[in-house]
Amino acid sequence: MEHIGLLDVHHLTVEYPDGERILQDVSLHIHEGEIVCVIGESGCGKSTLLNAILQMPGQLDIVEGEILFHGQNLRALPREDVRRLRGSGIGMVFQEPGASMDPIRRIGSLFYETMRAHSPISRREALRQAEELLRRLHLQDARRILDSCPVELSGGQKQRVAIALAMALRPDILLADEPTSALDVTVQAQIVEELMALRDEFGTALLVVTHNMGVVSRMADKVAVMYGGRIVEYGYRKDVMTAPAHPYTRALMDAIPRPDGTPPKAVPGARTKKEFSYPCPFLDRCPYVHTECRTRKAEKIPIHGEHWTLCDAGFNGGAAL
Amino acid sequence: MSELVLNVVSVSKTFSARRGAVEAVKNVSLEVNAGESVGLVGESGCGKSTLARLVTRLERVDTGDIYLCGERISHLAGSSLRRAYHNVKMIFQDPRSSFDPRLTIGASIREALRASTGMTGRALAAESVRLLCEVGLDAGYDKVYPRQISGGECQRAAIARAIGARPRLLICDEATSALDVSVQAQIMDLLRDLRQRRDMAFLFISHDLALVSSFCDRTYVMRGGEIVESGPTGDIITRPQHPYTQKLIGSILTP
Repeated sequence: MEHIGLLDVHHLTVEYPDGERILQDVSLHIHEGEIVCVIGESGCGKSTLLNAILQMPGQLDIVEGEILFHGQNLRALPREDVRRLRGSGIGMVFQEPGASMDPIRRIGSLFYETMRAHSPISRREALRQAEELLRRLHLQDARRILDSCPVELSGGQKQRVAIALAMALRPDILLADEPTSALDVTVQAQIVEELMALRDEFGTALLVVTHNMGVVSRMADKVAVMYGGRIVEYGYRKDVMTAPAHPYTRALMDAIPRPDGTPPKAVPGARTKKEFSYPCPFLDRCPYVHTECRTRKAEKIPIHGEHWTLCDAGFNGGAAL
Repeated sequence: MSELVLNVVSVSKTFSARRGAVEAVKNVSLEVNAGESVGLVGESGCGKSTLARLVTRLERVDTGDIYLCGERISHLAGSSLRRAYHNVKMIFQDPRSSFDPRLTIGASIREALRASTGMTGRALAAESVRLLCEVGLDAGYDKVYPRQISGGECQRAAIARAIGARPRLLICDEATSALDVSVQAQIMDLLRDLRQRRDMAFLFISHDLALVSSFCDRTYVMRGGEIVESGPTGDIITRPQHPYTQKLIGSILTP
């Protein structure tokens, strides 16, 4: 298992403590400064993937696989070292920016405490750095924001503060879980621009989990499509979005409402828990299902370059959408 | 001229808050014709939900009038109000919170049916199962509790309960915003289907212009309590006039 990039996830299989499987043989490689989006519906395992990478204690059993950060296996590291990496090496941003902030503690204190937890720093120096950071992220009124409490800020401002807070420790990679889902459309577009600016400004790599294809199309270099605990398709954004190969990716693309008035097309059937144990998780809902799907485990089929899929049934080789 | 199911005439609503009054709805007029699907778009806090709550009388108007199927309802009270209100039903973003967690889905639907139609006994039981089937849920859902089903299934159940009263207008307040895209598409299919099958108009409230464009004949754009633009949905999307509408459309992240 060689060290390829900044963050390498190898054959990760994760279960809940009760033995229920949530991730199955997930591999993902992120290079420095790269933006990878993981797309899929609720319950497909995409947030679990982030939690597993962060080694959040207690909730998950990693049954198999490795997570390498700069080639260092996080699973083999002492807990205290992992804790230190969280934040300083691997930053996080969540869907509800307010949920991770004390609503009545000033933003300035939040910055100070976050920075102090990782290295000795004076309050004054922390505030100075925070102000500079907010400016670089184009937040108007940096000083006033540092002086405000989260309750006084809008959802969009809070998310931008959360991004700035994560960046205060200059992580090499930022994991973002549905960073735009709780926000209004105009603010969503802003946050996407902001996240992309992080790479230009700081060279930060991004792993963004979302169910919003619009977000993916605006920012991703590469896309991983998840279904039933597995990555079913992976590749450069352009390849996956203009020539989606997996039947699920195609169904997902059809389900997106488009401003030209085309009605979204529903994916037939519904997600079930059983899917996680199937040889192909999508087989119950797939229009191309045949007997072999139930007996043979789906394996990677290369398409071209880094683009691969677990299934190419009905794929005509790359006609545009 | 077609019949107006809903006619909102110069309605205003102000809430008093600690830091002074908030004008949530300012002099808003809006019409929905029989069988028509009308979109109402805008961002958080623009007043679109307040407007819906005024139409369904969850709040009372300060000034202005609301007519439902020709009847001036903004000032009705008591039993005549309840009777008039069988003509409008509403579904919400979080269907689970609109069901009593201690009642089965079937019991909730029957309770609403009894109140709106006066049905009892076997006819009531049969109608509630028929409604479940109409929204794509089998009879087994009659006996389950809201917490036991998915968000999409729960929204279907909420739709079944709403259409039981045979309303002329169904208000959908961000009814699919909390759902996954593929489930959202399933619910939209159902709404489109109901629209064809029943004589029912829609007031479709959403922040998602792309979704509105696939479902609504006409659209109103709301901002800061006011309607800033209205017209056929296609025109709004392709030739937005108001700068705010232009901004909204520019923000749509399309795949």
